[in-house]
Order: sequence, then C-alpha cells, then structure tokens
Amino acid sequence: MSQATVTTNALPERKDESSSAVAWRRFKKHKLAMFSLLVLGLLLLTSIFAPLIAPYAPDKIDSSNLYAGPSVQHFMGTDGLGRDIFSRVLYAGRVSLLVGIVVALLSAIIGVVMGLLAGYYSGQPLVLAAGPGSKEWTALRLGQGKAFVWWSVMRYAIWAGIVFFVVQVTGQFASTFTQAGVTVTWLIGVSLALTIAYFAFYRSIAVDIDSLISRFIDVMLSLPQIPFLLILSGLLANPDVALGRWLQDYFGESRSIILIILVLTIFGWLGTARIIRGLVLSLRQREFTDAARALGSSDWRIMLRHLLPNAVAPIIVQVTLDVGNNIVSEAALSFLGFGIQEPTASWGNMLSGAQEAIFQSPYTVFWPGLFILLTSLSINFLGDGLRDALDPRSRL
Amino acid sequence: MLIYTTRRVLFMIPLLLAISMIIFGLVQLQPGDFVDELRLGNPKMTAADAVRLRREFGLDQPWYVQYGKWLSKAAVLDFGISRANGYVSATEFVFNQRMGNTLLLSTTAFLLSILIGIPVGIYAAVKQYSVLDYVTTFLSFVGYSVPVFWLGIMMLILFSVTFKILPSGGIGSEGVTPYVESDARFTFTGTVQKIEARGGDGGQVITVSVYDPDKAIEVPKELVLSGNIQPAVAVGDLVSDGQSAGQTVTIVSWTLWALDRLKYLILPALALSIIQIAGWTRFMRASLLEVINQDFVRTARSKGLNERIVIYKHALRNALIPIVTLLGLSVPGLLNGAVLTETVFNWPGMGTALLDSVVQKDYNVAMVILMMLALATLASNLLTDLLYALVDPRIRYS
Repeated sequence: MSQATVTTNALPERKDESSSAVAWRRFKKHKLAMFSLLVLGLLLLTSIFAPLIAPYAPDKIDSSNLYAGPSVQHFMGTDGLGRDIFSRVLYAGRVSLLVGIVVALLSAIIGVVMGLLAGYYSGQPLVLAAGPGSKEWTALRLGQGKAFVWWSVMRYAIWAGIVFFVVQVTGQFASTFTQAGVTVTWLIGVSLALTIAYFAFYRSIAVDIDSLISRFIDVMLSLPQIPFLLILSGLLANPDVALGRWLQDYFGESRSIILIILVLTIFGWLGTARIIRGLVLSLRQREFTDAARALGSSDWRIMLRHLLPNAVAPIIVQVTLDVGNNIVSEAALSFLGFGIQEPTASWGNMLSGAQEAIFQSPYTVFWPGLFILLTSLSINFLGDGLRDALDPRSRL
Repeated sequence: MLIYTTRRVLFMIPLLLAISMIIFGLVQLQPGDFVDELRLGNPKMTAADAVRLRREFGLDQPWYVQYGKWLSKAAVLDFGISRANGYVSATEFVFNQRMGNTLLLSTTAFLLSILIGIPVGIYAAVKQYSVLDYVTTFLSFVGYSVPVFWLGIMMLILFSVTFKILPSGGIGSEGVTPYVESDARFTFTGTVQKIEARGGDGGQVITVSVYDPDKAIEVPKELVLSGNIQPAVAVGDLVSDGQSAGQTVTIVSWTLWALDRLKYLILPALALSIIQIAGWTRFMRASLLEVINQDFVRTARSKGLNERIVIYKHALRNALIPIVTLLGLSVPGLLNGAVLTETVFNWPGMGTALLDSVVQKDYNVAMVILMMLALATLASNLLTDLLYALVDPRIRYS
C-alpha cells in the first residue's frame, strides 16, 4: 500500500518501471545505436527472406556475362563466373550472420562456465590426486564417507593409465634412437613416470583451476589469432583426424560452416570468461552469496542462481560485440581461403581472389565488404548503446 | 625488479615448451604432408615410394615422437629445411628473406598509428562534445569495424587501378636497386699469363693459356673486363670455367631506391594502421577524460594555471600511463593484420610465408614463424609489464 502512495505522489511511473524498461528508455537516447538496430534488423530480414528477394539463384553461373557492371538485370553486377552479386550478397548474409551469432552464443556459454569456475574456485585448489601420505587423503576420507573407496579406485585407475602412457611413449621414443640414446630416453621416461606415480599414488596433486584457466586465457589472448585460426581450420578440414572425418561424414559439403563455427569458438570465449571471472571474484564476497551458502545451497546453485544473474548485463554487451568480431574474423579466414568454401557464398569468400578481379570489375569486391563494414559497424554502435543503457554507473 | 624479470623470463621457458607442443601437434595434424606434395609433382612416384619416404623422414611416427625429435633439434636452433624454398634452412629463409619485410611494414604501421591516433585522441578529449569530437568518435568506430583486407583492396582500386599513382602490390620495382653488382666470369680453364690495361676506357684484359686437347698445344685466350672491374686473379693463378674474374659494386642511388620502396610501402602500412589508429584514438580519449575529471586537475585549474599547462603537464602525463600498457598489447593485432595486409598487397613477409607454407605443406617454415610469433607476444607482454613499472612509480615488482 505504501508503495502505491509513493508512485502517485513524487515520482510518477518511474518507481515501478522494470529494469528492462529502464534500460530501453536509456537505450533510446543513443541515436546511433537506435539507427544501428534498424540497420541490423533490415540486414537480418533480407538475409532470412533472401530466397524471396534474390532475383537469381546464388550459384547460377552465366558464362556469357562475366564481370558485368551494374545494370537493370544485375543491380550490383556479376562476378568472375557470371553469378549475380546482389543475390550472392543476400545469401552470403545468411551464412555470415549465422556464423557470427552462433559463435557468439557458443562462446558465451563456454565463457560463462569457465569464468564462473575460475572466479568461484579461485584460491581453492582442486584435488586431482591424493595418496595416503598427504593431508588431502584424510580430508577426502572424512568428507566423502563410503563413496571414498570408489572415488579412490577411479582416481588411481586414471593415474595408472597416465603412468602407463608415459612408459609407452618412452618406448616409442627409444625405438627411434640408437645406442646411448635408448638408455638416456629410458632413464628420462622412467624417472618421469616414477615421479608422477609418487605424487599421484602417495602424495597429492592439486591444481588451482583459476590460475590454470586465467593463464590459459592470458596466453591465448596474447597470441595473434589469424595465424592460429588458419592452422586450426586446416586441422579440422583434415579427414585423417577423427573430428575432421566426423565433420565430413555428417555435414559433407557444407561442413565448412560447422568448421568455422568450431574454430572461431575456440578463440571466442576468452573475453567473456575473463569478464565473468572478474565479476564473480567480487560478487562472491558479497553478503547474498554468504547467505545462500549459509542456507545450504550447492556451489552450482550459488553460481547459476545468485552470481550469474548479476552478470547478465556485461554478458549481453560482450555477446553483441562478439557477433561483430566473429563476422569480421569469418570474413578474414574465408578471404584467405581457410573458411567457408565455394560454392557456398559468404561475405568473406566473395572477396577472395579479389586482387585479380579489381582490374576487371571493382564492383565485385565493393559490395560484400561494404556489407561486412555495415554489419560490424552497426553491431559496435549497438554494443556501445547497450553498454550505456545497461551499466548503471554510466551517466546518461 | 631484476629478480622479478628473471623469474618471468624463466617462467617463459615452460610456457614456450607447452606452446611449442600445441603448435607442433596442430601443424602435424594438418591435412597431408610434403610427401603428398612430392607425389603431386611427380606422377612416377609409387605408393611404395611414398611409404618408404615417410618412414625415412619419420613421418609415420606418432606426433609426440616427432615432437620429441623436433624439440631435440630445435634446442640447438635447428628447425629443419624449407622444402618449398630451394631447400634452404627454414630459419635462414624466415630471418633473411621475410622477417625484415614484416618488421618494416608493421613498424611503419605502428609508428603511423601512434603519431596519428594519440594526438587525435588528446584533441577529442580536450574538446569533448565538440563537433570534431563526435566526428572522431564516429570515424574511430568505422576504423575499428572495417575489415582490413577489404580496406586494402579498396585502396588498391582507388590508387592503383583508378588513379594509377601507386603500385598494386609487391615490395619494390624490378631493377631499382641501391647498387649494381657487375662481374665477369671465365668461360675456360687454364693458367693466367698476363693482365694488362688496354683501350681508352681503362678496361683490363686477362690472357689465359688454355690447353687445346685436339691440337695438344696451349692456346692464349683473352677475357676483356669492361669498365672499372678490377681483376681478382693474379698472374700464374689456375682459373677454371665459371670462376669470377673480378667484380665491382656501383652505387646507383640510395634516394631513388628508398623512394621506390616508400611508394610500395604506403598503401599496406596505411591499411594496417587504420584499425590501430582507431584503437589509439579511443583509448587516448577515454584515458585523458578519466584523468581530466580527477581532483588534482581541478586543483591545478583552481590555482589559476594556464589550461595548456593543466592539460599537457598535469593530465596528459597521467593519462599516458595506461597507454603504455597497450603498446605491448598492440603487437598481436599488428601481426594479425600483417597476415591479411601482406596477402592483399602481395608483400613478401612472414604472413604470406606462413600462408604459403601451410598451402605447400612446408611445415618447418610454419613452425618457425608460429614459434616466433609466440615468442614475440610473450616478450612484448613482459616488456609491457616492465615498462609499466618504469613509468608508474606506484607499481613495484618484488
């Protein structure tokens, strides 16, 4: 009742505004972001309804009409195989936007999980192996009760497998050497195996997930991505590798789309994970986390029900910006010939081989790139607008 | 500080080992190996030959065994040979032929982006909410979003196809060199009899007595050295077919050569720097705005200091501190862009070498380049941290 009186008096309708309505009101003030939303909406619609809009099939080859300039029939001209560029740009939009959005969503999922794990378990080493000679052994025995025997058996079996693998690899190494090399290899291999066995079976091995994930992110983020993306897409295109064969069997010709989604996701989740980790590190110190823990909530419940909802705003901004980055990365890889393969059109692969085409017909390369720029620019403005709208600290 | 640096450098060793293992695994699992390439080039090669070659080069071993062998050689800096580039050592190929070009391109782009981006960022921050601020912000968004390869192609269309004022790719015009090396070679085998100057242009003539097996006698033959070539042999020397008789180096024009190289460098460097300029402008603007709103700047203003001194002496110095950290972090971006820019402009650098080596399955070169990229980024990260401590007295590593 008291709330009702307040709303009628001092601050009309502002008080019972939902947080999303507040965000929308703030977002509307960002003119460029609003305009970008409109542009993106149009791009999405034209891509979705490409079959209805496109005047030609995207892969219809017309050998009498190579590198044609803009005309009434071909509004953007034709490419080196006489295919209508306007139709191809529309169809390519489907692929490029799909890749951008799917990669952003997948990256967000992985990034959130990794960030939550790293942030929540920071400073709490995860026990990977415990033997009777360590203090973790007693702690686990008391903590796990009856299940302890089974957990120990499983742990020991896995570690025995690792030790066996080391010995096996040593043997394979030694067989490639002669004389003294064999002895040296065996000495190194066996002492390595013994060290692992000692720590795995008698002492303990504990790993701080946070420092593991954080260091991994640091290294991955500091590497130049394009060279490594090249190598990765080569790897997944290899039918001699299990994953590559699986892709070929299940997706056949269109596997390059799945492939590029996987490859981009491998580098895509790092930023989100780092942001979530930072947020969780501060959120887990707050009172509501302590309260949830005191009420007996499990770690997962605290992470998903209490910590994650507080991190939604930065995740939304990050996912938005990621879509743009992914589209540009996809275009770059496809341009280099390591991404989406012909005859499927993507904005990037329409530009590959462009150095020859520029002398024949500059239009061939102008339009696809313009669409990449338009999409990526709109997404960046949209992300900027969202950040301003969702961040309560920003002044607007 | 010294202890911290040493620890960081020592920590880089296991990190590099781990990275090298991952890179090696990735490279080994690429589709096909160089034996496949050999078979493509030589239809006479049978499947049995391929199997034998693979066994001989150890390509039939699992990747971790191959990695061990690669590592034991890499430890003494032997990274194998480049089979696609005339069988020279892969390190020699990358360092002597490619690295200089990439360094030239990325350093130019880096300097360009700093020299343009930072002043523009400062200006935008000082004149916040002015028309120019909005224009720079908008342009920096555009620069940030534009695909660098498309920008390069558009530049090519504008400057080399339409206006024809700049070359469409490559690193320098053919025939334009800073100096010309000319040499004369013997075309016969025998003993040098005499060397004498003859004629008005100061050219020298070497007379060699050559044994003629048909007539079983020694026949004198002459080799005329043109221009100012000085003979590199003396009377009584035994010379053989193809041996150099002497050479000279004439300096043509360093200026012309440098101008020619510059003409080829402008477009790729500009294309590569656009995204960086946008980044620096945004960071500089944000960083300076943050400092300008702090109390000590208000104090400086309230005691009546000139606005110029407030901005450039008090605010800017503090705003530059976070910028220093970004210097190192811009290295991966530069290298990323370098791969694309080099491809567009046909620039013979490490990026195109990497691309070619993957396509030609010349994996030793790919390994060298990827390892160098990893080392460069790790080193630039370390340098950034040290530089940060140097410029900001509040940061101490112990």
